[in-house]
Amino acid sequence: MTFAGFERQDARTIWNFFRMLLRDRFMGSRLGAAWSVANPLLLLSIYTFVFAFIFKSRLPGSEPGLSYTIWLISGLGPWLAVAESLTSAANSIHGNAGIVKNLAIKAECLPIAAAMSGLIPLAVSFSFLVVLLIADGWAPSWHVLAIVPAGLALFGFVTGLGIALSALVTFFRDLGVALPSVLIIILFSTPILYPVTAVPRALQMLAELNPFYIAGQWIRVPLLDHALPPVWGLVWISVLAGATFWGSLLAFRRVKGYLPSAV
Amino acid sequence: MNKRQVYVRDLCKDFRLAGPFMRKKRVLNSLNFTISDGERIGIIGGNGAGKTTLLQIVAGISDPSSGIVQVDGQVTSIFSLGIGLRDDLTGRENIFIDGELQGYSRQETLRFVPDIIAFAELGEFIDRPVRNYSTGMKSRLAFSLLVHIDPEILVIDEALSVGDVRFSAKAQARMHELAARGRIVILVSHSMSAIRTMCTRCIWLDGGRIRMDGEPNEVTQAYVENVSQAREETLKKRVRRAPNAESMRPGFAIKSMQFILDAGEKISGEVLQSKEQVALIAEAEAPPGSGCRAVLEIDRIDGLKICISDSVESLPLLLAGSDGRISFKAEFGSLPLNIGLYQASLTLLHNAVPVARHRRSFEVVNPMPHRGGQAILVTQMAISSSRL
Amino acid sequence: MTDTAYAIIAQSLRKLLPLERASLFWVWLGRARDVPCLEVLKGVDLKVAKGEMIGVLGHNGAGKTTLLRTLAGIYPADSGSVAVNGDVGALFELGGFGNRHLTGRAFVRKYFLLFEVQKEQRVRLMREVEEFAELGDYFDQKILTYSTGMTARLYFAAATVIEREIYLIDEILSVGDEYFQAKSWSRLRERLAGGAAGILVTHDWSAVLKLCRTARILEDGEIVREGTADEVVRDYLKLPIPEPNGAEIIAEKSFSAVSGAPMHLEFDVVLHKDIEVEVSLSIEHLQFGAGWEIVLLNEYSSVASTRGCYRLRVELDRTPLSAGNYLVNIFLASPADPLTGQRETLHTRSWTYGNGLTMQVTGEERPDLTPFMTRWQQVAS
Repeated sequence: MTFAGFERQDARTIWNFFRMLLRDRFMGSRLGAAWSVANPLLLLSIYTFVFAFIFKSRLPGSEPGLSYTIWLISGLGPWLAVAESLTSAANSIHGNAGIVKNLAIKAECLPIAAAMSGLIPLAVSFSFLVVLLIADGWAPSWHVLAIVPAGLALFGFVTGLGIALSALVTFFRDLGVALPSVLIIILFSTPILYPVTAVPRALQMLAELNPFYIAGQWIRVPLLDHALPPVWGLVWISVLAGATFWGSLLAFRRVKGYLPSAV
Repeated sequence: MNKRQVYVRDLCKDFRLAGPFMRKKRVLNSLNFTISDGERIGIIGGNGAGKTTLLQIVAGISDPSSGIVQVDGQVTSIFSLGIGLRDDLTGRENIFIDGELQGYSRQETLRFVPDIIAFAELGEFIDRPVRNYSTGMKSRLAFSLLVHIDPEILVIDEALSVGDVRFSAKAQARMHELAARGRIVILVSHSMSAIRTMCTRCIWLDGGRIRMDGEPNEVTQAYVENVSQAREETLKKRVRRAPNAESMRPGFAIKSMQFILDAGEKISGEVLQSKEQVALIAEAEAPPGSGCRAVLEIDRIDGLKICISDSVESLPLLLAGSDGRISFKAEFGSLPLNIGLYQASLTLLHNAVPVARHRRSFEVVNPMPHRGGQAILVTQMAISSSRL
Repeated sequence: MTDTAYAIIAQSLRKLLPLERASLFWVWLGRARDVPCLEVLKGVDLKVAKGEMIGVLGHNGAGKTTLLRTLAGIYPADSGSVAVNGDVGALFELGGFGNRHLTGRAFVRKYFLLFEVQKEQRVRLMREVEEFAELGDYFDQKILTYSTGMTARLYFAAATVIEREIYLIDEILSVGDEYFQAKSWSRLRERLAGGAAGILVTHDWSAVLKLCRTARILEDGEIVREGTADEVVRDYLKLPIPEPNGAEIIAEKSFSAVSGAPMHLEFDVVLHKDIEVEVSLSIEHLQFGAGWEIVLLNEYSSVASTRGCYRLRVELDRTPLSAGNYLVNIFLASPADPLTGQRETLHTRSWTYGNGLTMQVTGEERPDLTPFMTRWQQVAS
């Protein structure tokens, strides 16, 4: 059985790489794997503290406090996952030069496995979110099922970007250095920490096409508002995810043979 | 010019061990020594003796946990070659960067460049990015960068492996030159001959302590002797683990097997000396009156079959007495084996079928090793010459 | 031989390595076919039969590592073909996957994960690595606390614990102390005896003699020489045949002896001037794949000091060699300088120069190399 040039055994390779990357990540730190849980929690706390309690931001027509916090985390959590996936995938080839140079592997498995590392902060922030929601007296509705297709589309899109970045970073090291700043820019230009209505009218249209925003909405709205955002958004990000994944995989395979000598 | 000196008092260094507890391991334990101007020190010791740690502390790369380390003079250290090379820059650009790091002006560096390039023998590669170099080329460039240094205190770790035979000979020669130029040289090496030829003094580290400090010939000799004793210990351990006696048929067994000196004196342990008068004595058990044969096989530890000897070569049969015992002896005369680790395996055969076996590892040392090569046997041929 | 009899077949293998990393961007975009490249392999043809280990000798920069990486499937070939028949164990850049912050055990675990070792085997293989590397408590310490030798032991033990059909080896057999080297050699020989094939790429010619029957020389990306290991080594060394320097050895090309019987060799030495001459002699055994061993080596002894022709007799009351062909080397030199121990070479006959001598020992064919005399006695208990 093959899919997009991947065979069955590649799934196991990806899974092995995923486990290896997780182990490598926190190696040498005293608390080890505990950091993978602590990191997202710390970030969520600091963002919540700054926005909810220092800036006293609130949603139009509601009080600051728990509901804003829930709203913030429902958007920020997935973003942390995206940021983690992209950073990890971008460095996956260059940072694992030892493997790329010495092991006959399907190199594209590395960025894919690295992109999966976003699942950890995602799981952590969702658990945190559910705790807050239940504390707020929340009960789920069938709408939450919409998170699954949206999540998959987002994962496909992010993995595609990650594959592209992993190759580009090996040609242009500067890209790896610039990536954290770029991620911050994307975060603040996407209506995640503020409602889309806060965006100037002229740019609102553009903001609504932003795949990160749409994916965010498809997670946030079913969860908090028990409703679905416009369906065209889901179609749009699915198409975008497919195209990005496919395109970057093609491009990656064009340069794959050069990678061991370029890292 | 000031006096160069390395002054070390009560130097200790602890390493934190992996794991959640704050366990520590003492790597260096109260070291005291002073190295004065003009001395060339060799440092020897087994794995984990703390040689590398000591060098790192003297070079200022690592800090002592307690004690005083005072280094008067500028230290140049060579730990592993090629670490400092920038992959994206060409060989030539790397030479300039290195010059800057060593504190030379561009003018001064320009003077060295032709020397370095000539020494490295990289041809057109000198203007290509280092990334495209082979491992050997990298170490050649890295080594060549050392060509122009004028060290006050030179610290060198391990034998430098720098590529092929021809270059490594050149590199060795340059190393000697460097060592001769250095006001103080501290060299860690596994090569006793390098220590003997290059150093004026030798420190033997053992488990983080100074075991011996003195004249290189004496210290290295003591060290080599100690290493063979230590090997005997590990050998003993390994022998204990291996099934060294087995009986393939009930009633037959080899009870003991031991090396003795011809004088009858038992040898303690498993270390023999080349050219010693040695014999192997063994005691076996067999049904009273039965006749057996014994075969002794000697293998080198890497699997080379050295010698097989069958008792029928000098005896008809070994006969078990009425008490069911056979004692016998295999004499080697002057032991012809040279330095090495060996295994002796003695098999008892009854009617040409192996019935019992006994194994024993042993080491042979040679206090007077041959220069210029190591043969399997120490046997010397008699050479006589007559005028025609 | 049919193609299935080979473990590795490489045909007109070419490999280009890009010079400029940034130029790959255009390839990535699909806008360029060519990037400025360096041709590292220029059409290499190589066949390795199953169960055979061949040596590839080359100086630095000849393309040795690139050749191994291409054969291992890490680099795709730019043209030509590679067919590898069996699973490959790559013994180069040992520890390249590692990270010095890992403990020895964690490194091996990572290694097993990367090589997809079955769960059921991991415990057993882990124990094997632990035993082979003999690191003791250090096995659970970080690699960065290891000495060079210990690190090498760990990497070698991990890399060779899994049995493979094909080994690609790059300069690794010079690791660790004498004892560990012997162990490493015997492990490799064990693997080869088990039917494995492979390529040993190195500049260490003695390693080639120890492990390989045939060899090649790789020079500037091309195989320039192919032959039996000793011929190729001789070509690789390119030692100039020593000219007699005041003294000369005159000998037949071949000696003979009988296993276990008295040995008696004769040759002549001519002194062209009044000069003190000493002679040394070695008898070596070269069995490809099994090893290159110096069996007997004499200390220098005096020949003569005045101009003239001398006959030398070499005697041993019993030839401690089993039947087979041996190499005889003869060295003439001045006496050692009492201060430096250096000698001036006057003339040499040695196989490494291609002017060596041989000795044929007849008698019983035996599995042991040096059957020395042992006298058995039954003693009263």
